[in-house]
Amino acid sequence: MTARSHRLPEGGRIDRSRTLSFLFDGQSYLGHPGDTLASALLANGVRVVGRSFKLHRPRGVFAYGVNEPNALVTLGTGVDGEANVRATMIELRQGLVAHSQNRWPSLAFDVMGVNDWFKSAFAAGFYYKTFMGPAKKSWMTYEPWIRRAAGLGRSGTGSDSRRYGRRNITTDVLVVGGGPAGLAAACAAGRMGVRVLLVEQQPELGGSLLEDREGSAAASFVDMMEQELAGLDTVRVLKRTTVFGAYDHGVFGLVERPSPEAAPAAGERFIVVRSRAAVVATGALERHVPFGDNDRPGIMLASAARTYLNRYGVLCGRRVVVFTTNDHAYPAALDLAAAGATVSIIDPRPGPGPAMKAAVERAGVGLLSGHVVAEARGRAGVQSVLVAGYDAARGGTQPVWFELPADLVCVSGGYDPQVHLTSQLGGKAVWSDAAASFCSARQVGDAWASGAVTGVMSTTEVIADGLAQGRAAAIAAGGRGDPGGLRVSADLAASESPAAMMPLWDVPPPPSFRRRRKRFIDLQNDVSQSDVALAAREGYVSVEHMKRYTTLGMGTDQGKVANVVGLANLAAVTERAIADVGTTTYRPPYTPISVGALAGLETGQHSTPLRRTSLDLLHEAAGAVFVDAGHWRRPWYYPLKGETIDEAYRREALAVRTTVGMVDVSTLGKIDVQGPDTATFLDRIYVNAMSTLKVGRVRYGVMLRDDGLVLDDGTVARLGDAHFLVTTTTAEAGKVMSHLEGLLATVWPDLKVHVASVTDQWAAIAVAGPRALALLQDAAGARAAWLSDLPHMGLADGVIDGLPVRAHRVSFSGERAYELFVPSGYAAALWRRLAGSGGRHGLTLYGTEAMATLRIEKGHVAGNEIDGRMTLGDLGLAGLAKPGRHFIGSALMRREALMAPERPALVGLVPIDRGQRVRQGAILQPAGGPHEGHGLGHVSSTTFSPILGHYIALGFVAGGSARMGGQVDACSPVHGETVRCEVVSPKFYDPTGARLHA
Amino acid sequence: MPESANELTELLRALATREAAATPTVTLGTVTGQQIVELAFWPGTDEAVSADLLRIAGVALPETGGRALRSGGTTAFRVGPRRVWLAAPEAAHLGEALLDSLSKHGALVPLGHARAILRLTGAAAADVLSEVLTIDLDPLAFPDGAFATTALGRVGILVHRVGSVGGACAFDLYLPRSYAKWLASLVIKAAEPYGVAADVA
Repeated sequence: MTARSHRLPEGGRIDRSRTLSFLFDGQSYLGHPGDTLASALLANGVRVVGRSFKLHRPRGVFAYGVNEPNALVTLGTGVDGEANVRATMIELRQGLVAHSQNRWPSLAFDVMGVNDWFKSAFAAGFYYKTFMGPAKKSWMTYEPWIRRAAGLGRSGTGSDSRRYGRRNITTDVLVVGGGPAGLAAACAAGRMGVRVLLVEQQPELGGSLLEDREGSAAASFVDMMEQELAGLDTVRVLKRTTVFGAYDHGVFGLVERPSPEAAPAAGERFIVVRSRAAVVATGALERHVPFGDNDRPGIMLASAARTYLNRYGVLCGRRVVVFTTNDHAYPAALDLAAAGATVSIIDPRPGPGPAMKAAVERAGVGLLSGHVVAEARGRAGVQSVLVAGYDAARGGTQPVWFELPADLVCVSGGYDPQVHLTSQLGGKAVWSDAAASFCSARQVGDAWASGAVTGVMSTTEVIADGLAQGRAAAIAAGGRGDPGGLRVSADLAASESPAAMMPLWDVPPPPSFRRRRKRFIDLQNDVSQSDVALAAREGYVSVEHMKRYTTLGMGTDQGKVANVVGLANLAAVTERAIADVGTTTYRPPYTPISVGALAGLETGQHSTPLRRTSLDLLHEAAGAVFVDAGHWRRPWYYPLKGETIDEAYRREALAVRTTVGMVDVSTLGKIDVQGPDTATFLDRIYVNAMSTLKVGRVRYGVMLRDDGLVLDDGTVARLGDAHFLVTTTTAEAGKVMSHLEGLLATVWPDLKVHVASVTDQWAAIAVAGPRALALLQDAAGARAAWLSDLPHMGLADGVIDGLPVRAHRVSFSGERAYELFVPSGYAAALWRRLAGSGGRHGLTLYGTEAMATLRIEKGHVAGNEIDGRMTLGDLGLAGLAKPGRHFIGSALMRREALMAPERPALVGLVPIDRGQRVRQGAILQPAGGPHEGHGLGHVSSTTFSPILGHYIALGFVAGGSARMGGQVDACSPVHGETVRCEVVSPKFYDPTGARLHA
Repeated sequence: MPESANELTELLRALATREAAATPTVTLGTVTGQQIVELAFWPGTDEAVSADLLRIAGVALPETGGRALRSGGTTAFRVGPRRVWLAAPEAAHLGEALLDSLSKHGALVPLGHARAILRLTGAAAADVLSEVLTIDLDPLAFPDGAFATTALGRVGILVHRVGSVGGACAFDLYLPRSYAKWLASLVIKAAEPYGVAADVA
């Protein structure tokens, strides 16, 4: 160990045969495989690793795992920089780059450190009391500045280049935690023949056993268990994986961190586990004890100091003070002393158990019982502690104190069972006086808690408990047989310490101290004992309120070191029992999970499903500009070189009116309906009768919802006596299919009707315009009679260029038109054939924009009009429903409110000044005003009509036909425009339909 | 009649032109020339349907879902209480043969053009699928011949564990044709870390 290095020449579980270099704040350091960033920094003598959230106080590494409150860094740089990552959870890799956070210009000299000088002003609720005035909305002004000043790391703002994986795993028994209980439980369940998934958040199995020295009984037990589990083909182990959430029905959320050997682009992996039973062996984490300036770098949990020593070969200090309220920290003192440190133990109790006391004496470790550490000194790193006598009966410090030099202070205030997962499942954590903490319920549904999470702290008892709960879970999951026992070394049992711990939640300063130092409870959020007391004085006596007022327990560590200490202090100042104060609600995630991992593979083009028609590649080749229509992408328009969208769609629409156009309508919903009762069924779901439809004919139809409002419209084609093809709008295809399936399954299960979605089976191409038939005849060649003879609203099966085609002579554009249905695999061939013949007929491809123009010119309603609020009458379709017929919606469509004469009804709108444009969504107001409120109605669809030479619009106006010939103002507040319009018939073009038969 | 176009061919060709993984553990391909017919039958006709199926298609009516029955080139999937999918090579002209006998018992709906079949083969096929499917693919729970209707990328599909193809574990994904390209690209994305190759033969 050199002057700066704290790495011991031997020991630890790191790979000393290899050296890794890494950068922290631009400074190069060396470490080894097996190190964490935290252990490597400590090995290099780096004590200050960050600045605190609010007061910008220098902070050092405090823990060694997921509970680290201080050592938050930004990992990586640029867009992939990841902020607020716990250095204790970052495995070292070659070339790793990390930066400290929340400081400027440097970690050593932080301008915002001035906050610490005014710390008395930054008490709980400071912001809310200070920044609420003088004006009503002043907080809005202050907030961005406050957040900027108080924030921690900054995330990159570009696109994250990492690959975040996803995994689904189904197992019989999930064992959460690879400590002694989890190892035993996995072994027991695995021996009983059920599939076991053992999950450990550290890179190695062992849990708290890894705190012990190499070659110890604990380490030997871990080795033995690893071998045993490796030999069980029923057991699968996931390391570096945290179970962050427990949900109903055996579902658990996990996040797996990439190993240091993984590709640099590898991100976290989000795993969903479905398990028949679970063993929650999440253990317990050490908590601290608040005393004056207990946040100084060099102060850490005793378990952390021991782990850095035994696992990473790092001796964090030479002059060590171990301040503990329990025997579990004594092994840390003994190990540190054995490594060469001068160690003093400060214990408020009368003393430890006799075995531990003897061990301390043998090791020559100083032990001062009945005393506490009252204050730490040394701003950038602890240099000494002030020790005072402690009156256990009164709960206060004695006036007499002395100073003890120290460069490392190890604190242990006991252990807090990690009850998060069982609490998330609904098991209420119960206070235990023996453990002086909240412990997990034993069983919640099919999840069994095991080990330290239930308050059991003896390693041998934990192992036995793991076996028992593993067996219980395995039985619940269908396991059989007896799992047997485990061979546990007598040394493991002998190393245990049975002495009782002393709950100590705060060390008030000796009466003789002149200055009162902050006694921090929540290090990450700078919440001190005085903040909790202030919150209680100001009425925040509920633990949930206190949490939100002080921010205790928030942030990346969610108060894993602080929560119970905070609850106990709230109990003390409100003179209640801790059990009565209770806990805050435990919610996922247990530890942070990156948003990238939650998104997984569903990023970029995979964030939303994309549907393509079978003609998609041909549209691309034709230069189509696409538009999203639900999941579908559809050709919007096909611009010629230099053409704008307006120029393109007007050209396309005009071509349909004058020659012929072709459009891909494959996205229409298509439902095959078959069975002897099909006609009856369709009569019940459409407002107009379908049983009267003849085979070979097509009919327009409208469906209502139960409440009498219009659900959807489309066509019904009768293919045979008991065989129909129903088409729906693109948008409502799924909803209509569900509607029909629901009715057949629940309302009329007696009907022999089968419905099947054939939207993907059939592509559809509409050919429309005066030259449509000529084009089809040309494409079909000599065998075109079936097309030539087809009447309006008729259908026929035939062949075009060897391809099987079904033609429906229906029209959405108002021109003579044919919808050609072809099996999707042949659609491209048919399209190419038609396009090949089209040149002679002036064929123009058109997209959805021109399609909308054509249907608006004809006054046909579409999704803009059928918006879920309209009745048949509103849409001008009341004539479809014959009086006396019964169908879905027929009862409620006649409600008084739906029959009111003042309801908005479909009308056409034409600007008085033909040069003006009417905006979609414009509010229709009385001409000349007043322009107030919701007005008379709204504009639902608008377009420039190339055939008419001006803008036209469809809209809904109160009173409808009564206003025909009158005027309204179309007001668009968004555009600041008001356009005076004449109310006209919605059939702007060819109102008699003569062109359909042309 | 021209050959039916396959939505996946272009995507797989593009995958094949990429630099091949050093050691691909999963290969993606497509199954062409497959006819799929949905047969829905009325209550009380199970026995008659089963007999007709056996006679015409050579495959029995599966009594339950979850396990496909295969005979000759025909595979039967019981996808609903009274609903079966029959998959067979187009050359078998299964639809026409069934139509004559079975239309009296229920409804027949051709779906061959409505689905594209993506085949995954290789040692990592199940691992790749576990990234995108939520069902239990463990051979104990999902052995050869098992199938499930489930969601891939929030789209309903049918997944079938075909068994060994060329000595490697194989799964067929029956993808809705309009989503096929997008779904296949999602599977490719999931497969990339495992080493993926394309079979465009």
